[in-house]
Amino acid sequence: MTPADTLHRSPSTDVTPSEVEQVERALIDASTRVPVLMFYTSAIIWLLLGTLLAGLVSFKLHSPNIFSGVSCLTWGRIRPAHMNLMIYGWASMAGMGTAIWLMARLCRTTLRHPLLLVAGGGFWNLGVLLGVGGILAGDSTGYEWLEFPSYAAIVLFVAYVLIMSWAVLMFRFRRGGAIYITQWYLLGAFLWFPWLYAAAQIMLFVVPVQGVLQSAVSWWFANNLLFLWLGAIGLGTAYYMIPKVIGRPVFSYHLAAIGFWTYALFASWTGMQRLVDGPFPAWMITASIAAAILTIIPVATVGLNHHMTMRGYFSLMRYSPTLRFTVFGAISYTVFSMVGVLISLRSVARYVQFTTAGEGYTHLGLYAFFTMVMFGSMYYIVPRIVGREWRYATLIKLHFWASVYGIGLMTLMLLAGGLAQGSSLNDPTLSFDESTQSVLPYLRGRSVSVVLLTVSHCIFAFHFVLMLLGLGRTASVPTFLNPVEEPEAREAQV
Amino acid sequence: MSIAKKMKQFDGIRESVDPKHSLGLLARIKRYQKNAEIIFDTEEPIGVPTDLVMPRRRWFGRTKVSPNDPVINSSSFSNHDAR
Repeated sequence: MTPADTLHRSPSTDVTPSEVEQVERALIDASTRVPVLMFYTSAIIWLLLGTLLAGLVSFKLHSPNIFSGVSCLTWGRIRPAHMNLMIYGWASMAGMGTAIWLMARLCRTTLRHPLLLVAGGGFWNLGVLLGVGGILAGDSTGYEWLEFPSYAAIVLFVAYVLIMSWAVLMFRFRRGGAIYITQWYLLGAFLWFPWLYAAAQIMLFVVPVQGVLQSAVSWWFANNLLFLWLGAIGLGTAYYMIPKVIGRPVFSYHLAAIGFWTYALFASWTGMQRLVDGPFPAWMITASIAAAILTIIPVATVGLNHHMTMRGYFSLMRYSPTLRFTVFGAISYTVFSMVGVLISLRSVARYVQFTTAGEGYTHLGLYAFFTMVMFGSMYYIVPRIVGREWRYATLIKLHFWASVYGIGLMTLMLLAGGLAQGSSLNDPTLSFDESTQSVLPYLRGRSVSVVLLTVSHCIFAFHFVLMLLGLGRTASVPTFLNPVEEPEAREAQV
Repeated sequence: MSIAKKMKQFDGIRESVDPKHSLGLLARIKRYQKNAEIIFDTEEPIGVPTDLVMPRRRWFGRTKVSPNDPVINSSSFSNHDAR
């Protein structure tokens, strides 16, 4: 039965709920196809460019003479260009694409006027392009993750308002009374981002605060962008994908609600623990350290909920690309949060501050958690909106393992390198030059991990292009309709 | 007729997930927990895994397949394995 067949029937008793749901899903997926694919395609292009810059950033740390004569490719420019590209180009675009699809599915509404959303995506791309171009041209603002010059930030914000309005409108006109936990997280993320971005822009550029407070605002923004924007989208996505793929409701919905509210409450206080021993009132930093420790509550509830939901179903990770990426991301979220708490403690922070450990922590959150969950969601969503299955299982496996080994090696090198560097910096018998030398082997190891991640991203991009060109596998069971087969028929296929 | 209107027409025949009893703390807790089930429907019900599209690894075709294998019972089991 096709969607058209069902629609031509009278919506009376001869249409079963099963047929209705099938058609409903197909219609929702069809309405989100163009904008979601546009967001995903843009995200993957930015991911490839960001990976290229990541390679340069990494190699220049131990071989600084590479492109040393080209001013726009100096380390001080390509490092912020790489980070901003990954955050606003890759992570935000992939997150928004996933959020739009999830919102439409969970609100059971078709996306109206999707081309306006595409226009919003186009503006966002323009903002990222202007921002990265500005940074490479030497126009960076110098604030962590806010390096885009003001002309790019305005374009980005206008684009965001266009995109967010659509998500909020979908929620406003949702059908059915119940709200799923994913919708809470997504709606929270969509409302938190403009608050964070506008507050930071106003306090740093429009009506700038004075002196060291600029650092406090900057770190508050950077930390919360990771937690309240990307983290909320990542957790919301995991709460949908894991139960959906294994066919089991989330272990405790109450725990999920507690996790959400404690996350919203404590995460927004963090950020200033990165300024331990800085010229700030002690209460500011202590409050952030306390909030970071209290984030153990949402982390534990989310971790426990995901673990208990998955209990007895871990073997399914072998068969579902979505599940293997999402579960890896969910586990990484726990590790990321625990490392965050650990490096927030004054005794540890004094040791690892100003070392590569902070970078390792950021990569754990941005890549091992968020990016892996996004890959998982793409493996789930793309077949449903293009009506084809992923072409090669081997490429999925290669993508997964290259990503796992790549990010595993990178975080290991950066965290271990941070400890070695901290140890050298705290040793009064060593000169600063000698302490810098001590971290070089770890930086070379990090470059190897970048090569692995480059391979992984190229494989994924190639696979995605095959799907876009309609060269995906035609399964006997179209995933986007996903009808239940007779058990005999399935066994016969085996 | 727009797509949205067509979908609204089907709403009437959709099965309600609201519990019959809405009074009492226990009923409210149960109803709340019911929210966890709204991502499932008759097409993709609870107990049936979806998206299990990766092929089973077989060493020289020797691996036996159990009829209770969750992959066999998944709603998205496709002809990937047959190839």
